[in-house]
Amino acid sequence: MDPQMKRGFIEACVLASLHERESYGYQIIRTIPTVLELTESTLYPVLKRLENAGQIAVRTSEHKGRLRKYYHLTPAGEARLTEFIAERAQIRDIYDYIEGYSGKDSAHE
Amino acid sequence: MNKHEYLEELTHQLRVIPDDEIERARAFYSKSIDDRREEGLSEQEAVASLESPVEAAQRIISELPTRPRATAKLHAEKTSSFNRTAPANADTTDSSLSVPLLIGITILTLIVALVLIGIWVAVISLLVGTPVVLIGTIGLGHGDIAITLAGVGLGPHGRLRAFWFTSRACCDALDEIPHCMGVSSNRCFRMISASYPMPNKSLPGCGIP
Repeated sequence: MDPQMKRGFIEACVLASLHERESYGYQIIRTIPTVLELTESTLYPVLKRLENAGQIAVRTSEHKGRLRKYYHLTPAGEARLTEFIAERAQIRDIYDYIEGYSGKDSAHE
Repeated sequence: MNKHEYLEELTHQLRVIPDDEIERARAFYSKSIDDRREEGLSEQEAVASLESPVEAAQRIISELPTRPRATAKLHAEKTSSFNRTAPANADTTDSSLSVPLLIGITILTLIVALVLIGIWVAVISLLVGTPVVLIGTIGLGHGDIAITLAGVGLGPHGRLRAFWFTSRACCDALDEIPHCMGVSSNRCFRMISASYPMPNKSLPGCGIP
């Protein structure tokens, strides 16, 4: 997958993974679809970016004698997630356009 | 490679970015290794499942905002170069910003320097003018003349006038103690006037020929 597209999807997937409950780095990596090939090196900047944007927040809690950072969604993150889902129709239109003009249909491949 | 070695290498690779960023990245990778060990992996296996410190550092730096990334890139190019003649602190990434900044600093410095020079000129004028005003006022009783002297106190002509009036004041003071000095004020003043002639005509009320 194109890295630029992947980046946008990773952000949305991280937000979605935190929708139900808070989570920590390694657990987020395990829950994100493997097609996105998420690693610590990819996740670390994404978490930082989302945190700076106020879409996620972090708390530190003791876990088995060591400190662990738990990330959770903020109202701004919820709004971004809703926005991303609402963009689905627009993305589909773009794919329809590309398929229509390229003469290639993904359903036949 | 164990956890300590991995984090040390990561720190080394990230040395071009701010210290707080390095610390955050170290903490994140340290926790990831601990989480993997908790899953049952050994320390070596946990470290091996991560990207190499070089790849991790490159990705972290590539995600930084433009300016720190450019600085990091420049630093990396410098350290990899065999040419060490360039100054270590020559950072050209901000040249577009630094030129207006330098111009601004230069203008500000000039303004401050001019203000300071003005203050010093005023202070020196007061230091020179005040004694002349006092002597002229007390000794001669001509405040208007003294003020005129203070106004021209800095010029060569003004200095001569100041000297002349000061001498006159001193000589007048001799009248108060004629028996002690044995010299009359008029004689005293004539002696001085002969050596230092008054640039203008004699002033009324001073008893000067």
